[in-house]
Amino acid sequence: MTAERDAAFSEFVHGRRPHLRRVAYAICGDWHRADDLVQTALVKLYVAWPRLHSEGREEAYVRTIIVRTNIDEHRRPWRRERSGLPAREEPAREPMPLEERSALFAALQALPPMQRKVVVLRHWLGLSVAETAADLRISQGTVKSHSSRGLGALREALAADRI
Amino acid sequence: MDTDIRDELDRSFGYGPPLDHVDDIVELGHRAVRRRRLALAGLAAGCCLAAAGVAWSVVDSPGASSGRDVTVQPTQAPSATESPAVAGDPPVEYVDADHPGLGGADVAYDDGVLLVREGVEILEQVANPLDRRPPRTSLGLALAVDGAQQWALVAGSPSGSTVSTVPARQSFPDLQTWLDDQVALDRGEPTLALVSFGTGAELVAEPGVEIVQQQPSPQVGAEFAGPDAVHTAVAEVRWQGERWFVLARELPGSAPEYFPTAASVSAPTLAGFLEFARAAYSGGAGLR
Repeated sequence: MTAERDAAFSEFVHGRRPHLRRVAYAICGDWHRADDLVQTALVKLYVAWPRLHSEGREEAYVRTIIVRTNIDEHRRPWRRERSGLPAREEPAREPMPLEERSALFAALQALPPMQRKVVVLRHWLGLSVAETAADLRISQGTVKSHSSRGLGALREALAADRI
Repeated sequence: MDTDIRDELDRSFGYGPPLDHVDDIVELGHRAVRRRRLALAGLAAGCCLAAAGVAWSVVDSPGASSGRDVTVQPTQAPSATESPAVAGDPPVEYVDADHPGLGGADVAYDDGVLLVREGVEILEQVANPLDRRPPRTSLGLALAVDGAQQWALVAGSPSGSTVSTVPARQSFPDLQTWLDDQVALDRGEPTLALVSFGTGAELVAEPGVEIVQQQPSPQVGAEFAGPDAVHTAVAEVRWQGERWFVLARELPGSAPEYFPTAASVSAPTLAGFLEFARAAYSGGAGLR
């Protein structure tokens, strides 16, 4: 049983991890934090694999964990602007080559966290308003307002980049 | 526009550095399954003990009725430190405060060595609470820093480390309880809450928790919750033989948040705790 589970799980990871990692990167803007997020989510997926695999919900489950875990990451004491506590961030390594980061991506990263998540889920991954609201545990009205503001900011960035 | 922005977003960044091996994730999955089984076994054992205890007390108390209230204490899941990926403590090197590896912190991992600022004393160590696989690792620490005690969680990797530090006993009564909360946070699992919002601002006890008293809309200040808060509340609860106070808030667009603080580290009464919380938030640090 374990061998079958490992094989099916490994196949899923091989096939979907690059995409899921990009989702995490789009949300957090750091490849190493993205790797941590995806690893955390995949380990949880392995634990729940029999049920989720039979229901065909593997990817949705991992995506949900990624967006919610990233929300929780921002609640860490060392990420709080006003904690006043001694802290040191892990330095970013192997920065993205400049040609791979566009003005649009920079604008996406500049959005407030929840707006960024809504834009990623709604307008990159193509989730519905209801699905986005469920993933982020916010109301559909909040999704719409974040979506409108986030898209507006991205449109401005795109327009400026094309001038 | 939607299709356009989707394509533009897809093209706006690449695929990043090479990926780790899948086998590492499968092995972490095996370990997580073992931890879960241990937790379930512990829970079952706890329920058996509780049932045995109830049976014993019923037999022992002639006047006891079958309708008596029984509070079953929740069995804590095994600590993440019970199956550390790396056994033993790391080598420690005491260095000057301006050592570049410290980066201004009191402790840091640097190439497999725990750097500690001169004058800082390690009081307690918990090996690899985050259960990281080599070459990554983690360490929970109780420290004496300039006459005050601090708790630290150090997460190390070959390229450096991340250090989270809080004053000891700020909210939790001991290092292990704080580390368990941090580990849950790291894994995206629910952190210690003890209560949850039921209807409106009413708080409902988690299993094994007894609510002694509660108040809606406590006055803790705008730093805790502004006028646009959906709900706020505070409760005094009993859990695992200890009294706790829990501040709860639900802000627009966010999931509810709960901030448990042990009475032993804050104040003996609910009124005293609210004073404690007001001071913590007005000072900017908050309770977490």
